[in-house]
Order: sequence, then C-alpha cells, then structure tokens
Amino acid sequence: MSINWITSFDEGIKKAGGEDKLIFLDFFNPN
Amino acid sequence: MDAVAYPEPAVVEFITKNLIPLRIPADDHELAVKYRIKWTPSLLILDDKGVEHYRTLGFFGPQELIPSLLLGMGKAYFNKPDRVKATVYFERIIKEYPKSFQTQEAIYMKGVSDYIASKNVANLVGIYDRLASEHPNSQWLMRADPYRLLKK
Repeated sequence: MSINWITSFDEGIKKAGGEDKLIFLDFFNPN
Repeated sequence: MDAVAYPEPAVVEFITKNLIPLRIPADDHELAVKYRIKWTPSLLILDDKGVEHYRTLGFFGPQELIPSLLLGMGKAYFNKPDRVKATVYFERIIKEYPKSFQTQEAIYMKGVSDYIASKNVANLVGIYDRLASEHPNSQWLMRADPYRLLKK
C-alpha cells in the first residue's frame, strides 16, 4: 500500500476538478 | 518524507481518500518558478484551479502530516469561502489530534470561521479563552489577544 502519486500537473488539476478534491502538491528534492 | 511519513498506512489512507497527490521535482523549470519553490520539501494545498491555499516547508512526521493537511484543507475551504466546510476540518484537528502542533491554529481558525458565519463575537472571545486556558504559551494566543477586549 503506497500513495499513488500523479506526476503531471495538468493531470492533477483535471483529476481534482473531476473528483471535487483539493491537491496535495509535494515539491521534492530530485537529487 | 519517503522514508518515514509517506509509507505510514494512516497517511496513505488519508491522502488517498481525501486529496489528489501530486509530486513535482523542485527543479521543474516552469512549476518551481510559478510557485516560488526555494526549499524542499515544500508541501502545498492547491484547489482545482491551481491556486495555492497553504504551504509548509520541511519535514513532517506521520503524526503531524495529517493534521497539517487538515489545516490546509480547512484554509482552502475558508478561502473559497465555505466557512461551514472549513470548520469541519478545523474541528477534526481539535478533536482527533489535540496534541498536534496544528491544534492551536485550528482553534483560532475555527473561532474566526464561526464568527464570520454567526457574527457573534462570543466566538472570538472563545478563541482567547480557550487558548489562554489550554495553550498559554501559544503564538496564537498572542494573535487572539485583542479578542479579550470584546468581553462584556
């Protein structure tokens, strides 16, 4: 069981609108 | 966050049920500039238009991440403005996470939400009284200090 992260901003916005949810956006260190 | 907070089953369940989880590298040329990212992790709550309503910087343990997210969700609905829905999130922090670092701000925000909805200054006085009683060293008591002057 893990968090099913979305990695596309546009997909996240679309999904939030479709599901009437807020977005939890994690800007992470890629290094 | 990957090693401690995100694997926690309660965190996975909360985020999956309540939010759209989105991860973007902090060196993203477009989004890191748009959201002025200077620190990692930067954890944001956005609405479905991409408008930011809440931000925290730095590591959160699993025991604090959920109440922090609840606070961000409450603030997003406060801003919408849907103060009734916002109050639900602030109340959850107060009741379910009474020892959280977020609880003092949740008490403050709930009182303000209730005041806006009711126009009853007793809600503002209640913020001061509760913080003075339960969290006398809180910075949120300082912010609520003017409300004690509303006492009759």
